Amino acid sequence: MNPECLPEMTRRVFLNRTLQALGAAAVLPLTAMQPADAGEPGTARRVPRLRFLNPAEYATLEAVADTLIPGGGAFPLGARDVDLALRIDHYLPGLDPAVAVGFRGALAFIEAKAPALADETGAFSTLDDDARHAVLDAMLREAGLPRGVLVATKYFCVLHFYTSERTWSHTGYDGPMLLEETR
Amino acid sequence: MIIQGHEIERDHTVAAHTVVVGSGSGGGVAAFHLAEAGVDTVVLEEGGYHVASEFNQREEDMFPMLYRNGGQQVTSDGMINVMQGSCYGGGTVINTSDCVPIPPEVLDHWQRVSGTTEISPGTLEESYERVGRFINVRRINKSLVNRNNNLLGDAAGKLGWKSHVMESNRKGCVGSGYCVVGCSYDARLGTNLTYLPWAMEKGARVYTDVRCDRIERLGSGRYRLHCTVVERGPRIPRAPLIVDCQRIVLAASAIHSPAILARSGLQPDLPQIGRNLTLQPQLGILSFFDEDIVHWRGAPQSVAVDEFDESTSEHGLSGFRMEGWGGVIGMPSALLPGFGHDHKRLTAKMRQMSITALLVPDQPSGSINYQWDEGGRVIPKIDYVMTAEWKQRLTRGMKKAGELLFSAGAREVSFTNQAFPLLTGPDQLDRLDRFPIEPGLANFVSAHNQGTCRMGSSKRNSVVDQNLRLHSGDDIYVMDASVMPSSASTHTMLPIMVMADRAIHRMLDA
Repeated sequence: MNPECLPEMTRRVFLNRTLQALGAAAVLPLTAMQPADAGEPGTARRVPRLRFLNPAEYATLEAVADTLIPGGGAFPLGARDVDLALRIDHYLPGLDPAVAVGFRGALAFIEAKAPALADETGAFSTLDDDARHAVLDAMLREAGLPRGVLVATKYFCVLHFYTSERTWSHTGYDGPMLLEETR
Repeated sequence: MIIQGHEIERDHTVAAHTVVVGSGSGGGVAAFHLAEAGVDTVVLEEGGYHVASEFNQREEDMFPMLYRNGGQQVTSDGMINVMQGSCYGGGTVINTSDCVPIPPEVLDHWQRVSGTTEISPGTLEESYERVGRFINVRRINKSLVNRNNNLLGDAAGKLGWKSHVMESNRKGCVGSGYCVVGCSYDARLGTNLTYLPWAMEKGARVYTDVRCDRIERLGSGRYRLHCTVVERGPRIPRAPLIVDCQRIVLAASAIHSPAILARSGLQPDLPQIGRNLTLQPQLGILSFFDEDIVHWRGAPQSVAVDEFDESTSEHGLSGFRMEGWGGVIGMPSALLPGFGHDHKRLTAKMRQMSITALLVPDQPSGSINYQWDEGGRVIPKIDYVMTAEWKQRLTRGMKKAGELLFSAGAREVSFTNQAFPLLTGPDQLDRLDRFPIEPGLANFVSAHNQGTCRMGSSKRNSVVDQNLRLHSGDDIYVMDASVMPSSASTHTMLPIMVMADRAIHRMLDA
């Protein structure tokens, strides 16, 4: 993918931090993103049925989510354990279209543009764990669009991770009172 | 009668004497009193019609269902998340139920800056009594005050600071804690359960999923509202809707009422439309204790530490205050700084985490400009400046909040800034002098946007007169938070309702 294909951002979009404001980034030609299963013969992996994202975007989201919420540490569960990327994909069609399209733009930015901030040359989803962590760290330090993209993407990942029932026994959240009443 | 968008199949024309645009605090009050007086009334609401059985206490479902842009609306610099309810009942369906009147000093301030000589404690008294009775304004039952709020009151007592249990509009509350995502028990008496059903009993017709785009003057005191029926959820246009009427009450919020007026071409005659915006930015503070806090049960916002409240006739609402907040888990978790294992270390202690809102009232320092997409949907550009004076009060407020929370026993305090580490003791509070206020780092929320169609004595300083009627001479009124000349109160539902109640009775008396 050619990072130069990314659109010029207006100052307003550069400064905005939410997905809605990132809609402009979505004009990146999505066909430029390699399909997730387009690797060497025999390395193709199965992509679940998606509602909004394409397989390449899904692969990026899986990689971002895994970096933001890795397994292990304070509790064993991580983004991959709750199929976080799939959970987010299933919510996107019901959102304000500007927000959903903005999310797509955010993924495009992380995949193609953000690695250069940490002097990485490959696409984000092809990097190893340490390199991905370094890229997100660099995004947080870089004011404007990189930080905005990171914070917005983090919001989505964290929101949908911690509202997943599978995490509640690890965080101590009791869940909705309506559920208590049916137990 | 409720007519939902999906029930409108094709181009449709409706006629009424008075159209109320918006069904929240102001629109609900206006609709009921108009219908009660025998006025043929239509209410238009862009959001969907939802009832308690749909409120599943899950923020990932409820934010998209009940909030404008799913809760993702922000200022143009990305600094402040501008939250608005957008559903049948508007903000009264998703607020924390707190009822705080307009301080008398603020009314004095309005007289000084806007010439609102008819708006005083005396002239509002009858409206306060009526609204308070209708929505059951009462002190929150102490059994509903959870540890998250009680610890603020207890610590304030230790420090010799004032605090109090707040008043709210609940009835039969079970303390589920999910106020901000709609009450599943119909225990918060918003307009969805009070004024709107009462209005319909008196003959009002409520259209949901209908966006009002612009007003056309037809002449001879008649108006045509050009509206769009939208698909629930993504709000994609489905069909046009025309509403003909003789009088209009705009109650579509401080963000969207001025948009309708601007698109209707009234801005050249009323240049204050969209100006004088106040957002009352709030900062969330997340603290970690040794004990269980469980902020998601009980009345989420029930104790106010009001030691530093200041209201003067010179500046209006000022100072700052701390209040509890809570009920949802995903949003606050996202506000915690960092990512990866550092972030998980904090979320693992969610049960021991308290949430405190630092409310710092502001002076009008913003404006809104509008664009419309090809589908006719408004895209507000919300420009807001945090003044140096406001930032100073914010810093002082953060230090005092830190002092309060450490006094309450907090082990770590996060001021929800992606680049500002958690503080572990009161000796570190001076570091707040270097708190970075930058987009993407600091997380501010506005739940009380006001002032873009302010009330005043003339076109020169305002958009509506003291009866909330446009200065243009049209039979068009504005009855929402946009009419406040400055920040009315730390919680705006009751002030909006009271101002609407007074105005609608003045209108009907006339």
